[in-house]
Amino acid sequence: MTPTGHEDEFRQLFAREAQARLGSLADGAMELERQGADPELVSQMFRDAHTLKGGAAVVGFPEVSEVVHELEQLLDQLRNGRLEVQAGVPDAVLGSVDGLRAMIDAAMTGRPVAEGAGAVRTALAKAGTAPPEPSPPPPPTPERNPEATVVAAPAPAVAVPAPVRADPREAIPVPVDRLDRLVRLVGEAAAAQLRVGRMLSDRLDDEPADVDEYREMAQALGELQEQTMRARMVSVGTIAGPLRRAVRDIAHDRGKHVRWELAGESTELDRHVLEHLREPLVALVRNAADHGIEAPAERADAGKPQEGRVRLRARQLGAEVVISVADDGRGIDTARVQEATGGPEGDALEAIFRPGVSTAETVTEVSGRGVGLDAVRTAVGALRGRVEVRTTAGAGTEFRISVPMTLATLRCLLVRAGGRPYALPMHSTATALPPSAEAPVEVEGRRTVWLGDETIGLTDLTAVLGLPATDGPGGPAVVLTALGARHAFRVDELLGQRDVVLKDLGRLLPRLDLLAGASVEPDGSIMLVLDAAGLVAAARGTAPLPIAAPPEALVPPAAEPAGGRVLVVDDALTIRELQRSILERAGYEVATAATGREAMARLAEDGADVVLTDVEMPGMDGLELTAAIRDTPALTSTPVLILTTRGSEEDRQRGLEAGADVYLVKSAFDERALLAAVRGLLDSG
Amino acid sequence: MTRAVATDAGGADGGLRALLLPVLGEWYAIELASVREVLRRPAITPLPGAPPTVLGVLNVRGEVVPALDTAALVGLGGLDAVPYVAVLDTTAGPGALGAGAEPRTAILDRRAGAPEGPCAIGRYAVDELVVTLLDGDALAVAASGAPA
Repeated sequence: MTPTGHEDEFRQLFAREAQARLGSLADGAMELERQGADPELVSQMFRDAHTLKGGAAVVGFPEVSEVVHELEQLLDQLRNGRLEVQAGVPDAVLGSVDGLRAMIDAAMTGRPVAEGAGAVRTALAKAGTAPPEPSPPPPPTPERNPEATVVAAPAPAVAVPAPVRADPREAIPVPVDRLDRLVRLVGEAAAAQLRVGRMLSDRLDDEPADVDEYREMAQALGELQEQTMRARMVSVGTIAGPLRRAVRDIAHDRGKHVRWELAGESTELDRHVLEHLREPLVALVRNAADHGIEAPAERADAGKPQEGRVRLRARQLGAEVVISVADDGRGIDTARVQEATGGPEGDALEAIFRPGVSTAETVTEVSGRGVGLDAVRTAVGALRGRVEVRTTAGAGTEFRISVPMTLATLRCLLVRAGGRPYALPMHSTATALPPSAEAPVEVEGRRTVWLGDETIGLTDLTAVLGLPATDGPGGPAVVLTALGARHAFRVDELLGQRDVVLKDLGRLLPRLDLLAGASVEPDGSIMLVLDAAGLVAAARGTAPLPIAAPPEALVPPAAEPAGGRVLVVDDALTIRELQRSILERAGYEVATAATGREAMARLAEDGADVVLTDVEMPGMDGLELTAAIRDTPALTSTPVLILTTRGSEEDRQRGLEAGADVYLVKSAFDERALLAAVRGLLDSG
Repeated sequence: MTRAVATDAGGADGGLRALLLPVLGEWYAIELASVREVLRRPAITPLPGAPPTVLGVLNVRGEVVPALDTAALVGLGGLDAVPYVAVLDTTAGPGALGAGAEPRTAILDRRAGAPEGPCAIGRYAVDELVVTLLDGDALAVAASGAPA
């Protein structure tokens, strides 16, 4: 390699590119296995190997280059029709990919590469290829004319000059810390913009929004901020290769026929989140192929196609991404789990996430890797996400992972307590109860409040935070879910819901159980983001877990993935957003409107499968809205659910007379009742 | 509110440039090279559940920085008011040390005995004052609650 002083940097770049090329080769091998020798596919694989070979030579890894040359020979024979795609070929390519990964890892850390090279050659020997042609001439140097070397296939690759016009699909690897720095600087620029706005207002008595230059700057900075955040996003498809490979290898080992399906691979989420989901997802797809899908004979006996199916589906729901892993296998034997754990059968699906749970069928063990579902849940919880499962005996199992699209921002419910604003993470917020909902009742000396048909603990948030109690009548209570429990916290008022840019409190501080982080507000003040697990533990007088436990599954698994569109109509932002959050988590597409008139406009534009409306609203109220829906021919059969604080029989009667299908009273409201009602309306429709 | 740290406090060979912090009638010093800036009237947000050595957090140019009670860290009790903080970089990240009055810079070149007290690494005479030089990294460790 030509000494440039940047060898390490180039090698890092090569290692990153090699991972992508090797992933592409592995995907290609699995496609070869599925569909045979498609000329375009083989050419692409050849190009991957060719580029890899040249790159290895340029960064000074001649042994790697030499071994890739041998793989390239195999692909060249396939390309020229001198070799058929037989059973051994995909295995040879996959084995070569594994061996090359080991070689590159070793080369990057200065370790011997012989073991990896041996693995590649052993794999290639099984393909039944003609003896490889001699190794290429010495590695090219960057000074050589690249144009002259691109023609002949086996010729060594060299750095191809950048095209004059950039290909929009072209990507370059950028160190993550550089992106993080960019995000921070953009955040600082946005904060500075707000200071300029305040200065305009204070010193010049100008309303910033009326100053064109300020408005343009704000708009540009807003777009810059959004694009910078986008730069950290990667698509789910980028980790699909190893998942497919895991399924393929398990099926191969176990003599099963398993079809891999991928949907929503272009769904994007923060690179950090996706990286940390890789292992849990590998565990889930391996579990599906290993324990979910039955052997061909067993499937045939059950009247199923011999080929099983493992399906990974990703989609964005609001600020969350939901990734599901579903199989059409035998389902989880809940009776067996119940027998193994000794708990009630209804809790069996919950029990499979406990550490150490292992049944005779090793339901929670992933073969050979020691990754259990407890580790899956812990990993997902650490990403502020949750994992849910539903299973049907004989028909299959679906695991659903919901994670925030990015950890840089966090959807929060903002509340005021003790005179200060605080943020509560929405993923831990089950619901909010209005001050008038239910009088607290005491159970064994502890304050409790009714939530649906059960009582849960109630504590003033100020008491947990060590703040003086607030004078005056009690405000609403926010129900948080953590540590497998629900607890209500009385606050002064609800301030709304929004994304906050979450910052940590610095490594200088000890772990503070009550806090998840902080956000710098536009006025320069700091708002604390509270930790639900810490609050619940403190309120219940228990020590929090070392790692914040993921929330319980809030949403009962739906019989089918919910797919309806719900229009939520409420003039109170917080209620509207809470309902949106609950419904989106359950898989519904949600639109919102703040007034009856806005709702009618939205219905005319996009329609809805269910309308969920409050009664008390400015202008056209919920009863008038319901009547208007019934009077509009195109909408007349749209189900309407009224959710209101008006609980008298007379009010209920008026709601039903206006044409509502369901009338729910907010004081008895909980999310399960809401979801059951929405589901019931969709099912009956 | 922000004041850049003066760097014209001399530079005699062998002397150590330092920022002097008045804390409950005593003077403590931090090596100037580790000090980012001094802030007047810092807006400190208290943290529920934090130990007494932690005053809270403050916004330093968009960054959330822990504010530490210098008096508590050196065993003097606690600051009753925090009109100034000195923001310094430590190996564990940035932190702000509270001071009871305006800090000043000085050259530490006259030893005045062995250091005494937590996090102390030197004792110097500056004019008529006796100043205890603190180790910023040791203060960070003490604040984090980690074993030294």
